[in-house]
Amino acid sequence: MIAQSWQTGNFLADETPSQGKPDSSTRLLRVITNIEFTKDMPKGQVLAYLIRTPTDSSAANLYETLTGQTIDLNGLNKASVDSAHQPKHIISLKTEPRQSAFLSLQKWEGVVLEVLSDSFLTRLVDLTRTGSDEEAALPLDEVSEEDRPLIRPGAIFYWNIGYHTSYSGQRTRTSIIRFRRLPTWTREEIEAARREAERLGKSIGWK
Amino acid sequence: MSTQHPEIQGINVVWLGDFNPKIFQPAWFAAVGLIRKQEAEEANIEIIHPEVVSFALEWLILQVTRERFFVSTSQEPYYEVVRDLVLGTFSLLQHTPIHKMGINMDMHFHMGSEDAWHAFGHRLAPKDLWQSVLENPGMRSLTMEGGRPDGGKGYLRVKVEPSERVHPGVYVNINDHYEVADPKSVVGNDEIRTLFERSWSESLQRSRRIAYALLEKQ
Repeated sequence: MIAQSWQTGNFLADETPSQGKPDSSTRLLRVITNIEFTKDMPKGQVLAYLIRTPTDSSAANLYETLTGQTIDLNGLNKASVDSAHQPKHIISLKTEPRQSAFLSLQKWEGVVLEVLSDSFLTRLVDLTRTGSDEEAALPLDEVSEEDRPLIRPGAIFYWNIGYHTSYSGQRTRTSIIRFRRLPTWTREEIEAARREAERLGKSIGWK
Repeated sequence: MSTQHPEIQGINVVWLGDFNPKIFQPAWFAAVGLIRKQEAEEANIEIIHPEVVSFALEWLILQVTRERFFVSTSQEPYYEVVRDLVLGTFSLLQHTPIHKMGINMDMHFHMGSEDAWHAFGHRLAPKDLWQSVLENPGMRSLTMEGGRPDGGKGYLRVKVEPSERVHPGVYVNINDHYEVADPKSVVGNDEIRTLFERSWSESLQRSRRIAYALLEKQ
């Protein structure tokens, strides 16, 4: 694949990728729509992006596994490719996705009951063990800036306390609050749902 | 060995069907509100191409080809977030036909001692038969398959191996595989989406139960 003439579009501005004009804006979020793409990438090359560890299987066998089975082709039991074992004359530009690990000691699913000036009242369901629901007030400061607009009555969130282990092995005790994100509904979709609800209501004689 | 928390664990979700990979870009996920804008800006993009997309966030790896959608996380707080991401994505792309799904779990357990580690291997794969044909035989990998406990189409595969990341440790991988009733009549992904939403919690609990049951019988 030879990547040329990268076209970019600002998805957030118009929700459709720009097909013809380069985007000179300074916004960072871009949808890549390279119209010069070669349509066919050899299967071996596609596999090279998906499989990170050396394997004895042929490309044909691997592709069959890829399209027929629902397993992780890499698995969490394989160590990353050791660069010391790679040929010295090859400079790889591929970046290996790395993830740190987190083990939850305590886990809740919460629903926001009321938003106050500097905190929010919640009902918490313990996902670690069965027990009665609890109510708690959590400071707004505990929530990441970008999730704060999601804090409103009825919003669902997940709260985890546990050990975070970084790539380098450093373990820290951490609390993570993450609000549930669902797709943004368009005005047309909301209107269609309202009309459907109205139709159903009428059909059962609901006034 | 007593039941204990895995030292390392992760989940991944695999859906098989017909995909248009280049839709699945960090900017698209942010535009429809499924991930944070800042996460999209900081995504580690490996490739975006009509044939294959691969990128990583701090808590997620996502890969899509024309036949396969794959997401994984090794961070427990994000299990439900991954579920919501998959459901949100395919409720937007509801006409994308899907016919197979895997809800998979990986766990690494520390075995406490080399003796307990060897004993576990001997128990799963007794060496009597092997002693006469191999020198010092040891179990490298064992996969067992069973039918779906819910009676649906698919199977459960459990793989056990010595852990390459925890020593002395055991790696347990569970492939909870589902299929639609009639793949030829699949139009969109309503059937798989419903199955996914309904099966999620039970699948994760069952995978943990399987791993703990194997280890508890030490």
